Amino acid sequence: MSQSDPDRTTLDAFVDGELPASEMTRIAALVAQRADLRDYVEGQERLRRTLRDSFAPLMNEALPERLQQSVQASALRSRAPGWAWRDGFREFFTWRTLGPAAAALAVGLFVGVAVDRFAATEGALLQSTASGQTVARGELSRALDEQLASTQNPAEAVRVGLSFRDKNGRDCRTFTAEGTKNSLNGIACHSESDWVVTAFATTVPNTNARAPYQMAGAGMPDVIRDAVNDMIVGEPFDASAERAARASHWAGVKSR
Amino acid sequence: MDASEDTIRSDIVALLPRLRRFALALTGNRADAEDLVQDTVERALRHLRQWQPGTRLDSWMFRIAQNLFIDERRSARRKRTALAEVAQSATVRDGARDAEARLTWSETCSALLTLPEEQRSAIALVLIDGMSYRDAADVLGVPIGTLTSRLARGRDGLASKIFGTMQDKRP
Repeated sequence: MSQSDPDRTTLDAFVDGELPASEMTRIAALVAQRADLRDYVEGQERLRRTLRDSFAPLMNEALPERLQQSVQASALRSRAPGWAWRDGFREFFTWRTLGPAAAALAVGLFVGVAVDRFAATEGALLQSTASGQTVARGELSRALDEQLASTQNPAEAVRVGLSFRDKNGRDCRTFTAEGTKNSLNGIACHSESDWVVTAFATTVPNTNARAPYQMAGAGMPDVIRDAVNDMIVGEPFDASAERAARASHWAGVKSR
Repeated sequence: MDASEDTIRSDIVALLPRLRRFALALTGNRADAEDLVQDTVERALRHLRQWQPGTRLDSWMFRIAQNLFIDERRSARRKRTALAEVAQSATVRDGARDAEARLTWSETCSALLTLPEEQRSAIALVLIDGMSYRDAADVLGVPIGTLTSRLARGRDGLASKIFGTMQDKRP
């Protein structure tokens, strides 16, 4: 093992999706080239998947009445308007985050190469720049520029999710690029003329999942959901704000 | 009770499956896990004003559960129950060693219970619940470096238990 090899902590953080996007790309490339690193990463991904899958039936199991009653001391009433976006936000992620059995996290292995269905025709969706940033390319870049969540075809191979303003005043969007063997999920923020990818993870379909867990799309990994929570300022864009942001070429606070 | 409190209650209901999974990973058996979740919910509702809106409700609830578990673990009754269940259950199926292991949650709990408590909590939060390092460290009240070293030891212990030789593949 050479001095430039990633250490155990780095490889574990790679598996857990805890590295910055540029480092994820670097480690993914190393893992793709090195059988010993790949064995370790795949083993850790298998452990993570095995643990999560073992609890999947339980997550779908009805809760005992006494637990629900302990919360519901009185009937729920209508919700405060100020909480509405948070409810929508949570629901947006529900089908994705509740699908760990359908989409086990397998961070990075395919990233830097390509999501499989794009490999032949489009090349890589992500590219590392000389400055160490990871930027969207090809079909991903086009979708981020042009697609609106409110009007896009659900069958699109690349779909955008939430659009929002981040703490640095940039317009950011979540995305899913769906492949047959793996899918790429992430967040990209518009900066100058590029979409800079600030976080990403790949998911792989769990072919052993039972029918109730099989979802139409890959799951949005918790790491992406958490990253949005950390970045967002205010509410996610609604349909008209999303259209306005596109019209201003995703210029962020500069568009004001 | 005002509308926002209603919303928090519904958010807590949405958290119950995750809390139960976490409690199972800690306690290793369903009855104690559900007791722990119920105690967590009741304590959270009693001290709801201590939760700061805008901060993570799930982290706050998990922290309550973790603290209650630490308090409760001193109970000889809980320990006896957990150990009895471990003894009754096959630790991990032998057949799981080579192929992709398909474990039941009770088999996973049996493997988890062989780990020291602090490693078990770290594994439950990060590998099973999918929390970020930062959030898991916050729940456990430890620095991220402490969390990651607990995770590494926990990973080795579980891999050895579940897959037999996986930890030998470390580069």
